[in-house]
Amino acid sequence: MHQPPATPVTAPARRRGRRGTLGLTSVMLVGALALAACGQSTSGASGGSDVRKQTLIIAENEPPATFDPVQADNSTVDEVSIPAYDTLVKYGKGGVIAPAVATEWTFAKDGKTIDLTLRGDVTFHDGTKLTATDVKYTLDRIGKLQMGVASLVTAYDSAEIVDDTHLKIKLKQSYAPFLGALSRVYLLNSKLVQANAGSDDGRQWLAANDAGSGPYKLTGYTPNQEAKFTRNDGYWGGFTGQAKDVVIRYLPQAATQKTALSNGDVDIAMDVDPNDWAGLESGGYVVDKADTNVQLYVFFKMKDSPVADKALREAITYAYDYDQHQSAILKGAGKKAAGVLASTMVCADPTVAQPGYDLQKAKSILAAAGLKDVTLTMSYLKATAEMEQAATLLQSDLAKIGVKVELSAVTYPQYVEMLKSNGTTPDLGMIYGFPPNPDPDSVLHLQFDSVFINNGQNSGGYDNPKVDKLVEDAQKLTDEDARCALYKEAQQTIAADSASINMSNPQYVTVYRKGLTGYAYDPAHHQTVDVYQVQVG
Amino acid sequence: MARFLLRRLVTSVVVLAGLAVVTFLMTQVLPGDPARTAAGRNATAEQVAQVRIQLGLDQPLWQQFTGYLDRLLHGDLGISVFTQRPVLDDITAMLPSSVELVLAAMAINIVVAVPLGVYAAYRRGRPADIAARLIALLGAAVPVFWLGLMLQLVFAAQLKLLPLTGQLAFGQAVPKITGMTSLDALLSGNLPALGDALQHLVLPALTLAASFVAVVARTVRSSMITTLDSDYITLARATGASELRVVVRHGLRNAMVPASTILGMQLGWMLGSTVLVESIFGRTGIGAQAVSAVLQSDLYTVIGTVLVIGVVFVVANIAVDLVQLWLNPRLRRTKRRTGEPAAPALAEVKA
Repeated sequence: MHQPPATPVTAPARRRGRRGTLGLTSVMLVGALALAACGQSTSGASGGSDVRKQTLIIAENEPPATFDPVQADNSTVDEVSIPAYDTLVKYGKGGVIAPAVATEWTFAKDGKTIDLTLRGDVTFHDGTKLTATDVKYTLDRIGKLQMGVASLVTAYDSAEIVDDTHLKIKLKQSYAPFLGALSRVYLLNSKLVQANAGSDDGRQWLAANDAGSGPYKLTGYTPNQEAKFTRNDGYWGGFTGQAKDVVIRYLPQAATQKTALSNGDVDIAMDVDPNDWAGLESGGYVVDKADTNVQLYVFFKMKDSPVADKALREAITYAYDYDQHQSAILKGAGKKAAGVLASTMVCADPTVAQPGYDLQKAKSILAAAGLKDVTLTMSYLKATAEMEQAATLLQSDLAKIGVKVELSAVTYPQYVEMLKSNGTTPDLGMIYGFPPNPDPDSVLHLQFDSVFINNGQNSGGYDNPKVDKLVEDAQKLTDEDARCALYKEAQQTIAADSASINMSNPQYVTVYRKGLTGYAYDPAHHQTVDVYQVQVG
Repeated sequence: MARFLLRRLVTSVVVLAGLAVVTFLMTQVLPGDPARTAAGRNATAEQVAQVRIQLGLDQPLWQQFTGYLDRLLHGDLGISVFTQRPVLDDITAMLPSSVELVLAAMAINIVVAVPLGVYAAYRRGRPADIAARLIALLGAAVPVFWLGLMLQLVFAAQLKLLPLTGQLAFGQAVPKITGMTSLDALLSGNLPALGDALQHLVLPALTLAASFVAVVARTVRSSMITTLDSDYITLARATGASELRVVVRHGLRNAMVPASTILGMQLGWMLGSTVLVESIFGRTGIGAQAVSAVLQSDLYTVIGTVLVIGVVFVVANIAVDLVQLWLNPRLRRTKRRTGEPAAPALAEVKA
């Protein structure tokens, strides 16, 4: 340790020196703080409080990739399309299709053409009138781009304009779910998009601009931060106490969302941690728990796997503690699944056999089949706490019946990659089903039809010609009761085959400040807020 | 001097080319299929195939790569699978906001770390020295993520001193001139917005700076100790110069040579660290962009952001060398015949 040479000069001087350094630092800090103090508004609801009251601010954890509604099969894009655009039809209460821009529709006898009548009083944000031409342009564009919502309207062939308020949609084949799928087809201002079409049908322009007729106009987007909308006063539906401005703020952290809510920075938060629900509820917030069409499944690999043996599959479905899942994992925000369709779906059959937790039964099924020392591979996504906890719960439950599970956490793209061949498909694959609308076709066809094996969402490679035929025939029927009869048979067949563990039917939880009215979760638009329904009071 | 700079430029280009190759290969081994991502979750095989052709992903790998390199040389980073905009436009739109955050963090870093290091060196071995080193070490030891959330809880939620997230308070707006909120507010003469933008900067910049202070303070301290023990300081003291003048003017100038190297390198690291900070504080920027691009298997955006961060590294390194030349005249004198610097090569100085 060296000491600086002690000269008579140093002692007082050194003090001076120290003062100097400290002085300099403190001057800088004071300067910075003084500048910061210039900002009159602090966080929270102060500063222009009336304007703030008239603004609805929503916290959401994932920003949209684009504002082009062709990608609205993704909930983040759906969420920013809802305020700015109109659709032909909407799903009303109980999964009934209700009018929006289309006031009437009739399916032809053969189920291949639909005649639509449109409202005559709809105008786009630039004042242009919405006509049948815009509807045709929108559908043609989706058909041409073949991405996003195109997967929901594959049956679309062409549209024929009768006059401004009438058009005929032709389908490639009879396809009843088409009408419901129109609830995700956001109508574009064809003149405006064509003027900015460039060489990519306006995808680049629509990625950041709005060409809609909806209740709100897009006014700005700061990537990964916030999207801003303002009221479209000429909206055909009129306004009854809705917000003047809408802001969707992108806050990926659940903890930050909760703090923002309690600070008054946001009005609605969609991703608050379950452990905070009770505290917020007693603190004067509304914790809305809504039934959804979402289910959490574990799909069995049906070919070249130990679980190709039905006895093993059945034993596993009796070995999972479904009640524990409800109470410990979902903290009560969910229901037990009954079959592969959520109870809120159209044509859901409540009588489907759904195994419960019965270890004795599971063990005796295994013993009868002479199965022991089974080891299975299982993949799950680390996307939600529910998935992570359910994976370990299943692992420990199956250990009790002597079945060993090797867990691997994967990302969604990795999982899609694994499903591309039967060889790389895990014995057990955990994944959510997010039906884009309450039509049973979006589960029974997309997840269980053999055309989607190794290509799409038939994650276990379930291959049953009987089910294929039932769901494909049901697509051609326009009579609801006849369709439901086929779908119910399909549900019974899938249940009898023990094709999946139906772990849970989680609820969707939204927390919002008291004083907001009209908020309701919409199962046809999962993870979004229909801002037009919310009054700010 | 000119030769030296030219050599630096050539090596930089080589480094960036290598980076382009490595990132391109990395995106090939990353799981996920961009065509399926772009087509959507419920797309049929035909739809995915069609999108694959649209994106040129059906071509053999070498063709994809040569096409990519060719575009790169023309300053074209490709089109984002998702936003449908040129990647370069996306990045230039977001970079200023990240630069603003990095500069604010750098300012905090320097204002805290340099005096801390000097003070610790001056009081070496005494309690004050140990305390200073402990403070710096704490900043480095705490996980960035946790620190960000804690600062939010204390200063925004409990004390309500500072805003929680975002870049401007509700109802404030500034025109987009540079893309740096605080600078734009200053340029447009909107003082309330300037103060507000600065308030929004405090917590994220503190969070970002915390882990960098320790290294700088330690470097300043050790080089300051060496400097304070050197003959010319004794000489300066003997001439009766004030202690402040001795320490700052004579001591710090020399002690800052190694510190400036570290600070230059840290610019690049900081830009990389915005990935965490931006998402916690709901700021727009290249960090938040990189995260969403990886999650969405948006190939060209991933490569683009990595390349841009690489360019910042390289530019910062060249800047560091120039600062070194300015601070250390010995490096400027070159042997007449070989063009080699007379002083030890920079790499050795850095080490």
